[in-house]
Amino acid sequence: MRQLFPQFAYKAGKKPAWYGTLRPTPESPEYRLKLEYWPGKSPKVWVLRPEVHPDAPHRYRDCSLCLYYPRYGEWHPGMFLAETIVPWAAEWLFFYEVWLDDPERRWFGLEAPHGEKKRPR
Amino acid sequence: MHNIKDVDFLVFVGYEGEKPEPTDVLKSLRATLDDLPEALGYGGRAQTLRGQRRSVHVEFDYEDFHLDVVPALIPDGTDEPLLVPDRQWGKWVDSHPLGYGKALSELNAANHKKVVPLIKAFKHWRTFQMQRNRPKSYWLECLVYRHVDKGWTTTDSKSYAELFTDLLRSIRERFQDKLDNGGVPRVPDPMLGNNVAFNWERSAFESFMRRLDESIGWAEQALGKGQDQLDEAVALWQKVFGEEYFADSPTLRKRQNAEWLRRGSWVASSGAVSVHKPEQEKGVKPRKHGFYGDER
Repeated sequence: MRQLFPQFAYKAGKKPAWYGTLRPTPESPEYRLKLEYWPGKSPKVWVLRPEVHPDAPHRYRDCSLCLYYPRYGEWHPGMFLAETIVPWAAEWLFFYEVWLDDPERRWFGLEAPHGEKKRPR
Repeated sequence: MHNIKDVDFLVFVGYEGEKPEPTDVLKSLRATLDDLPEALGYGGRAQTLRGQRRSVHVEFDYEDFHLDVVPALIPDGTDEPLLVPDRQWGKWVDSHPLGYGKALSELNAANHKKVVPLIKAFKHWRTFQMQRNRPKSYWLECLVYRHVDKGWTTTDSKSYAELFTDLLRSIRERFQDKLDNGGVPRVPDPMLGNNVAFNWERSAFESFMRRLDESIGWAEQALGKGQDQLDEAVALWQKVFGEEYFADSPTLRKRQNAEWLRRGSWVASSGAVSVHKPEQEKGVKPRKHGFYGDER
């Protein structure tokens, strides 16, 4: 993490997590994120600020970002967070900004099909 | 806030025994609606337009919206087809707008909510590309519905640009036989199966196919452009949709970038997302993934 995203810092404690910032385009604000990862569970990412639009898609009920479809095996514990979850969060922010500007509220990023258990061949 | 300019209303008409004559109902509705603009504090009037077979059209002076009011009989409840008048034929015909609305919502939901924007884009394309003998909006809706519902045009993993281009290709492929061998194609109503484009004239159909063919060419060229050819890509999409709809702006350029980023991106240490490997800072090319859907 420190090599690829040196602005991310790990804070230990009762609820240890990585905290850091991402700026998906030069015109974007600096987003502050929290990344929580417990072995055996999926990593979770929240945007702490600026506040995300309440209707923003691709988020779970706890407002963490839906960055991949767990059933497709796009992420597994053998992967580095810095090579998957963090850059995926940057992409989420990029597509979120496009979504915000789009009067038709379209999401331009790749989407996992809803309600399907297997990736279509 | 959406800028609604065209509002369609259904007015349920009660009757006992014999069905009223459609022409009488339309005349009576027009007489009633003539007072509506004034009652609402506007100027304007109601009219039954030639070629607008099913509705009374209400215009409001100095306002950029209008109403189309369709009288309907409900012989079997609103879950079943309604009867709407057709002035030209002077008879009641089946219509199922409520069933269609529900079916379209379901199809849209099953396709990442891409069907409704696709219909809007297709209608705009028609309006921009065709000045005369335009296919009616509902025909276009039926076409999009059919091509997505049948799986001829699939929405998964496609950008809007790819999806729109695929739709045009799919329509061309299925209409080509009629173009080559004469006649005009059927456009079935999604609910009732009747041919909604029964009065499509051959010359208008040929014109539609010419516009379709041209636009496919421009769209395919635009899709083939890389991020360093943004100006060319924007110019090509403007040929398809017009400069007003596809106005060049930072937002549009960002959207166009988003289309390219679907094919793969680099993420720099700062979080900057680009199709190019960052030169000034470290970067990572993350593996392909799909954002998962709305669980909220």
